[in-house]
Amino acid sequence: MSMCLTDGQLREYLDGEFPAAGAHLLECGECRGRCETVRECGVFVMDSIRSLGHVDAPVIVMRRRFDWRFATAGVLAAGLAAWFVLLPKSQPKIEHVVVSKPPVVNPPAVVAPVKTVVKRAKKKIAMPDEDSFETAVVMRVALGPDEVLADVLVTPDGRIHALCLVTEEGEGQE
Amino acid sequence: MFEQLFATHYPRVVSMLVRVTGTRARAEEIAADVFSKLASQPKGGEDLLPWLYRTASNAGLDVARANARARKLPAVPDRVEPEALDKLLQAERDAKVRRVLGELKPRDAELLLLRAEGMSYKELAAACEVSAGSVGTLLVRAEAEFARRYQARFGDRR
Repeated sequence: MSMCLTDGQLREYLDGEFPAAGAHLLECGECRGRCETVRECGVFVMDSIRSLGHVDAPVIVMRRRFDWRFATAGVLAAGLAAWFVLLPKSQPKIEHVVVSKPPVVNPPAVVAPVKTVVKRAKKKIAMPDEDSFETAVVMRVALGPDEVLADVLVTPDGRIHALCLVTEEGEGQE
Repeated sequence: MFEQLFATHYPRVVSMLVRVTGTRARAEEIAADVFSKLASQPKGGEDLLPWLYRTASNAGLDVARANARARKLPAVPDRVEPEALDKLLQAERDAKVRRVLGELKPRDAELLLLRAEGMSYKELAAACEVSAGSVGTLLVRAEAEFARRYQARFGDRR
């Protein structure tokens, strides 16, 4: 025969928490007697307490609070989505284009532009002074009643050191 | 988290307190006070269950003890209704039970009250902060102590 049960185990057996105790109770009269005592005591106490009254469970209506965090996140998400939709696209839109054969147009006649270039004459006309100098300024001047163009080399002391005539020539006439 | 705790346990706490205090208004007042304190607790979650039930049952038992001390017999009315005697006897018996509950150790009273509410052993272990294996032993001791005190004070079990 197994060991006798404690009062706690008998309580658990009576409450359905320790069904294995049933096998021992079948063969142990002492434990059966104590089990009956525990049961009577438990019934008296629980009946006494339960007779104090019982109320139906109060109805609890949980009102969900408005959560500003979710609202803010939603507004931001909507704004972001609207911004993406309304944003002007940098890339050109792909559109359906009806491709048709372009009309044949005679190309216009090409007319070469006449360029007029100013070329400096390579011939040195005059060299009034052969003294050496370090700095000078080239000035274009018009000479004589015919206003012949010429470049003159003027040193800081105001003296002219060289003079070159400038002639206008067409590019194709050179 | 608090809302879930409130929705789950408030009805049970109120029901337990109605048994202890005898009036629903007083029970809801105590329950509201306890849950208000619960909301200000820094830690949350299921760890607060033992605190919740211990605080509620202690507050209810305090009221029961105070009522037992200041208890006055109801005035006998001129015209007695047919069920008046039964109500009077029931009120007398309830007062005895509440008095004995108030004399028990707080944990024993809490265990008995919560068991009477229909809590399972697992729920009792969580609410009273005891191991699940010791619930049966603690229950049987609390019941024996209740019965012993009741008989010692009132003579019989009726």
